[in-house]
Amino acid sequence: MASARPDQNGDFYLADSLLKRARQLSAEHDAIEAQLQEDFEAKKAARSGQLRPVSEALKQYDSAVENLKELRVLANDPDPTLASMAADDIPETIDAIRSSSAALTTSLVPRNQFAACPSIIEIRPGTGGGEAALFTNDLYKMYISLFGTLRWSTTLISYQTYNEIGGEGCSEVIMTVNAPESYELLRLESGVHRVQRVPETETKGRTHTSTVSVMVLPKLGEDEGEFEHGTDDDPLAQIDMKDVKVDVLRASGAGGQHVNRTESAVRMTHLPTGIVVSMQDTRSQHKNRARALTILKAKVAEKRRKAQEEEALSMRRGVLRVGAGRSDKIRTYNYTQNRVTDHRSGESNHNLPAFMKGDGLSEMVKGVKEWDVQRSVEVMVAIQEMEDEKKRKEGR
Amino acid sequence: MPRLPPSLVTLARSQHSLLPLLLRQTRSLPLARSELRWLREYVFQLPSSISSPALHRARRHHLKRLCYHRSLGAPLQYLLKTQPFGTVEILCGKGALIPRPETEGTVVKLFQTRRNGVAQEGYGLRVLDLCTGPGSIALLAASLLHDSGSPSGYRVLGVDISDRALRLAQQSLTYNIANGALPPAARQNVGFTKLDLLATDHSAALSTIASFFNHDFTSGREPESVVDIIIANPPYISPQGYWKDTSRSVRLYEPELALVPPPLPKPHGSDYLQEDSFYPAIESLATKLRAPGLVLETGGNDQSARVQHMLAQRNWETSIWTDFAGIHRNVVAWRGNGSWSWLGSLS
Repeated sequence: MASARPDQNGDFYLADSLLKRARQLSAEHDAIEAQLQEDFEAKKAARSGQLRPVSEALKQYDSAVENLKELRVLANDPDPTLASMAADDIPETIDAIRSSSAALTTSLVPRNQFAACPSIIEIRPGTGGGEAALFTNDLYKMYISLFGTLRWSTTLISYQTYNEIGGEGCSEVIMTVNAPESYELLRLESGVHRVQRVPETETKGRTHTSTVSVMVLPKLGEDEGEFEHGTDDDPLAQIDMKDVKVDVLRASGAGGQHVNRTESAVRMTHLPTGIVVSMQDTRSQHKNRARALTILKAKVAEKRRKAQEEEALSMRRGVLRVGAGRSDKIRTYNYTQNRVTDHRSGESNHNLPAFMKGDGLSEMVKGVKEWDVQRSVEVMVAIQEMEDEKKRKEGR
Repeated sequence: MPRLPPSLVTLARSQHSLLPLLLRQTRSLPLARSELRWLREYVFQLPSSISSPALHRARRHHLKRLCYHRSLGAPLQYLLKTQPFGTVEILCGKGALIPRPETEGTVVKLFQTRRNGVAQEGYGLRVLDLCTGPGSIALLAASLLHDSGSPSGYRVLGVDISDRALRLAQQSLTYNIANGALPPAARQNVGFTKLDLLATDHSAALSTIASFFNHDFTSGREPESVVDIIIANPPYISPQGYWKDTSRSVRLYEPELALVPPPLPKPHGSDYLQEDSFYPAIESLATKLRAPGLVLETGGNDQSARVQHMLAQRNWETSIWTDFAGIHRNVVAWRGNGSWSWLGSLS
């Protein structure tokens, strides 16, 4: 754990700011629990449920740290039997600290609000023209093989072929992955994938660099109740409906009784951020509207969160090695070197052909997920420090 | 209609063999893909008792047949037998108009966006839906009123002349209660009845409507008004407009009865137009029922202006609501500075 650091004895302790955050949350948990004893309230109970893992992990961590301190004292005891017994227990306790600090770190990282959702993947060529279209198709095949191994069912919504330059290319793939929780695995695939290779269609043997952009969105449920849970309590997801421009996309004409078209697409634009969402999932205008709004809120929250993170991280730049921004390329597929490198986790896979058949992708995603957890913790710590700093300034 | 470019048809065929059929009606590939998806979802959801490989074949065949019907112009809503309409689903079938998104917008605007305005009416709102067709407005109104938690309930009466449409409306009521979109209490609160609005004698209509609403709803209210709000989406297309402006699928499959009003025996003045037949009839019924509010759907800007003029002459305060395409879709009217004057604050 990057946020845990050894003290003079070589023992691991968590960063102060992280602990501070954990203590805050744990205190909140205890306060809510006390209130719940007197007066039950569903919302508070839910919040308490969210905080419980933090509180429990913190208790474990505290007791392990306490244990270790006692053992260190006992290890210096003049009585040799007692000292050796204590010394024997020290490694075990250090392990306990490690595992509890890992648990604490994970419990502090908020679970993605759409983690339990099936997902929609959109793959589109970026820069690089025909070669990018070819690689779009390769990425599509890679994901399909992965889902085959995982036994996840998919539905192809759109597949636009592009074979102007020969070879098997495509200019757009949209598919849904129907397995629940697939969003949690795939969300980190969102971003720019870069490919470096000699394209099939290249006659002079030059290496090209092209990009393909992958976007993963949560697929929201049929049940209306489902898609209100995530964004309602999130302060960053609150938007003023006055800022939202809603367009119903329909053909021009007299409308009303004159036509019976089935088009129900809704497009929403959040004017302050310029984020646009359009939705034609169902025949119900009402549902398309609700879904578009959920996605819009999630995207606005994402953008605001990112801005907040950047502000916090910029205050301690140099201390942290910040991963590549989300708009940058996330992964490079280098065919000439037979290598795939993820720029976030820094991990490489040296068997590209197998990787493109979906073999090794899950492992790479695991690495990225660890990076994501670690990064979330760093960001959380940075935000905590920023808030403390602000408070201190106000205090003066 | 311009011919579809062959390249588009080829592209569609390369994606799915059934897409070119749907493309003939939708004229756009994304919409054709959506329709194929909805048809497929519908076919593969149907309950069946056949074993699986045979079932799969039968369903593929069924899907193909539906796409074929669609290519000839059959409305998707008839093939799928339902149309989502706000929070409810309306059963669709021959003999009843398919509910339109413009109407959905109107009802939502009336009962949801101004939820407070309506709730201030307090004790059990009484809604009269004239020319209800398959009951779309009545059922959505019931659903929205239920959601707004009006403490003393609500009563909604849908009126139409077509027996087929009324049968469908009753079935839609049962269907929506069964799938949970409406509470079981809707069975008592929502009613449908057959009336001819263009009949010269309104006394039968008045007594039917009064008996529906007065039933245990008389206490604590001004005695004279029988209903609180009248909504109507009457036939409003002229005989010429029927051939000129409506889409082929509408003419071939939807009932003309729900689209073009019959000519009246004695024209009301020289500027009388056939497509406006229903509006004076609705107005005089509203006056007899002492309804303080009116929401009427029209065919567009010109008709809205005529209806507004007619209502203003008969001492209503009026205003216009536009639909999502910017067309003057509704004329709203209220009496004096009554409780429905807020209708004028929306647009």
